[in-house]
This record gives sequence, structure tokens and C-alpha cells, in this order.
Amino acid sequence: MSNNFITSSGLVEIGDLWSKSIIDIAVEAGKKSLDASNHHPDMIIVANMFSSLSSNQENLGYIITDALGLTGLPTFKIESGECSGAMACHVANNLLNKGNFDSIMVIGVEKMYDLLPPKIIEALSLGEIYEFSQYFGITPAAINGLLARLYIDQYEISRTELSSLPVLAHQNSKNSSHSQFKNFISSEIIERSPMISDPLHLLDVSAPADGAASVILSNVKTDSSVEILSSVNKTSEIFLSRKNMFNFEATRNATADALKQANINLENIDLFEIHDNTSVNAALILENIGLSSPGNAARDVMSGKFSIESKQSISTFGGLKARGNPIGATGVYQIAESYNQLLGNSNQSQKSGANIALTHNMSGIDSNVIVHILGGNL
Amino acid sequence: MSVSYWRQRDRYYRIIGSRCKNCDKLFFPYVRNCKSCNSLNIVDEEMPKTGKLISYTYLFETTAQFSNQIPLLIGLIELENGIRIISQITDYQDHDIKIGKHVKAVFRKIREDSKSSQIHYGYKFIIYD
Repeated sequence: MSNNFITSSGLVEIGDLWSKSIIDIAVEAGKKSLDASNHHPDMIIVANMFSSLSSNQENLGYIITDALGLTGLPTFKIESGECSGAMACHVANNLLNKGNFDSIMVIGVEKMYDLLPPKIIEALSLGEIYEFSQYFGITPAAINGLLARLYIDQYEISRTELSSLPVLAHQNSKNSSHSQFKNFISSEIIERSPMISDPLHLLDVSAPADGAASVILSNVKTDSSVEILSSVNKTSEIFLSRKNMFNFEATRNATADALKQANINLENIDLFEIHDNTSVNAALILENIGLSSPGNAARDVMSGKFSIESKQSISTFGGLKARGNPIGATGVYQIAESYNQLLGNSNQSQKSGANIALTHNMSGIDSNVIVHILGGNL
Repeated sequence: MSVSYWRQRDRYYRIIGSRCKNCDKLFFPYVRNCKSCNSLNIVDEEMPKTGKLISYTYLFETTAQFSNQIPLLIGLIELENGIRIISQITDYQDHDIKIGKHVKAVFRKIREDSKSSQIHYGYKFIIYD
């Protein structure tokens, strides 16, 4: 156990925030977490993947710190592809462990709607090795499509079964004030949505999003804090080299180490915020975390095993699919959401009896994975 | 673009991966050190040009340089030596596209950044049975 705590959070409602800049929304999230905190941070870490493309802006750490009126504090930006958000929290936690800082603010931010759609795809593709993907027009959605066909063929997954994952995500987001999509979807609606990378339709895949989220980490417990029971980062070999493409080695190893650090079993965890950016990833993550046996995640979701009323719930505010996936901010949203669930602050999205939460944020297909386990009033 | 294209052109044209001279393991994409035995004794090795299709997807959203080719048919291919590669499939008829089909590499135009810029070439695959 690290004996560090999440002490406050601040969330911006995800959407197409045309009238606001990347700095505007980062400051909005940061101010909310500052207002809710007793701790004045002594460092700020900004998580973001592609501000240079979306906003012609780098040096985000300094610019956001200054805009927040906290000029003078040390700051930097972390970029680690799609897991930048959780990576910033992981690094903040490690820095607190070293003892040089007492309280660190993390702000994750991404502004995607400043880009036209082909540019958004270019930005999302930056996380794959250029020479073998972007050069040939091969996008992350294409790689997910290849994986999805392998998966549904191998385990004979029906369209309705695969749809159960995005359907559940949208169910969970309907009462969430910060989520991007609050509308009901069904398997028929998913099937009618445009094809992106078959067999994956538009509604199998998270949409572009503008968003910013902030949490403040501290080494001092407060009345409104939850403990960081573990924080683990693992990597796995590149997708093409994997003998078994359904084996998410980094997810498995990070989960195993995180459980060990926290000294708990998987059964003790009440809610899971997973990197469900596509239907197929959602299913494979559930299986690799160990919540479902191979090939059974979609059927488990359909049977209601992971709904908000069940013993163990997933994506309680809609996950990447419905809460939204503002890339560099996503991991911070997951941690902020878990924090609010564990404190019982989640209004109509509240899962009752939530004591322990696990967050799983990844870049690529299980390339780089960060797992956090957070504990409430144990 | 043109400097990196010049540097990589041989790999784009001939599908060049790596062989570890110490443990004989093959890699694609190419490696700088052996991921199996850690040796630095690595040489370029041209990959076989035939294999079979193990997955595919019709891609309807891609970057601007490829918008005139939508949908792109992207295949996951296992080459004769067991190495896997993701590549565009070309010159196909929809009814030919099935898992397990034999494919072979061909040399094709990949992209053109604008009307007046360089044309970039590389490998694609065709169905041949």
C-alpha cells in the first residue's frame, strides 16, 4: 500500500465543446478540484496525448499552471498515448512516495473537436508505429476490426451478444451529469449505425470527445479522501508478435500486481472502470482481468452479471463508450469517477455498497496498461 | 515525409524484417535487438511473399491521404514463415474474401500526399487462390 490518497476531483462535462479552448477546459477541471480540496498542491502534472495537433500547443504544464493562477509551482506534461491520464496519476503517486511532495494535482485534458474527422484519426493513429500503420492507412479502428473478427469467429459471438457491452455502457451513463452520451441504444440501433471497420459499427467504438478531469493526490488522509491501494504500470509485446491475440499480458500482469499490492482478491472489488474504447476491447479486458472466462464476457454482460445493481459493476458512468473518451483525460475521469463512487457522491449513478474500485487504462491493444485500485472506508 | 520515406523505402518495397544471428529467431516489424535472446547480432531479412489471410476488415474511416480509397480492405496475414503482418488487400472481389485464403505480396502505389508531391510505394497483398 502506498498510503497516498485521492482527496478531491473536478470533472468537465464531456462533449463537443466548440466555444472553449484546451486551456479553458483544463482550467475548469482544475478549479473544481481545487475548490473541493483542503490541500494546496505543490506540483501540477498535465496528461494529454496530442495537443500539438489539436491546439497547436505544447508546454501544457506551464501554460495550464499559469492560467490556473498557480504560477511558481513545478509542472510538466505527461504523454503516454491513450493511457496518459492514468500514467500521470501513477507518476504522481510515485513522486508522493519519494517524499519530496505532499500534494500533487493531476489534470487530464484532450480537445478533439478542434480537428476535422480525418485529422482526429491521424491523431489517434500516433500511438502506433508509423512505418507499419499510418504509412499504409491502417488505423487503430482497423486493428480493432481485425481483432473483433478473430474474436467473434473463435467464440461464435452473436451481434446481440457483442452489442451488450455498448448497450450497458449507455444504460449506465443515462443519469451521469458529466457523460457524453446519455441516450438509450439497442443492438438494432448499433447494427443500423454506419460501419467503421467491420464487424465494428460506429456505436461499437468510442466517439471523439472534448474533456478535462482533475484529481488531487495527497499523502494526508482527509474526511473526503479514498486511499490509493495500488498503482501499477505494465507493458506487453506489440500486437503483431503475439501468438495469442486474445491474451492481454500487460492487463493480466498489472491486475495481478495491483491485487498483490493491495492485498485483496478480485472478488473483493465492487466496481471496475475499464478501457472499453471498442466492444471487442471491453470483452477482452473483462476476460483478461479475470472477471469472465475466455469468450464469455459478452454473454456475462448480457446476463446482467456486471450491471450497476450486481455485486461487481463495470463502467458505472458509461465507460469510454458512453461517458466519453477524451484520450489524455480518460484515465483521470476513471479515477475521479471511482473516487466519487467510493465516497457515495455519485447521485443517481451511485453503486450501493461500493468500497473498492479498480481502474484500467491502456494505450493501443494492451500495449501499455495502468491499473489502480482505490479503497474507500475499509 | 520524404526523408523518412527515403530511409524506409526498401522496407516498404520488399517487406524486410530481422533475423537474430544468435538464436535464428525472425521478427517483423524489424528489431534493434533480439526480443528472444537479447543479442545485438541482428541482420535484415526479407520476408516470404506468400501466406494466408487470418482476419480482415473493411475500413470506412481513415486519414486524408486514403480517403479516395475507402473502403480499404485491411488483412491480418500469416506469412509462410509464421510471421504476421497487417496489410492492405487489393485487386479483390468481395466473394473471394474469406479467412484461410492464400495471399501474395505485390508492389503498389500506397499514397500521394497531394497532386504535386511524391508518390509513395510499398507492399499490398492480393488473393491468389
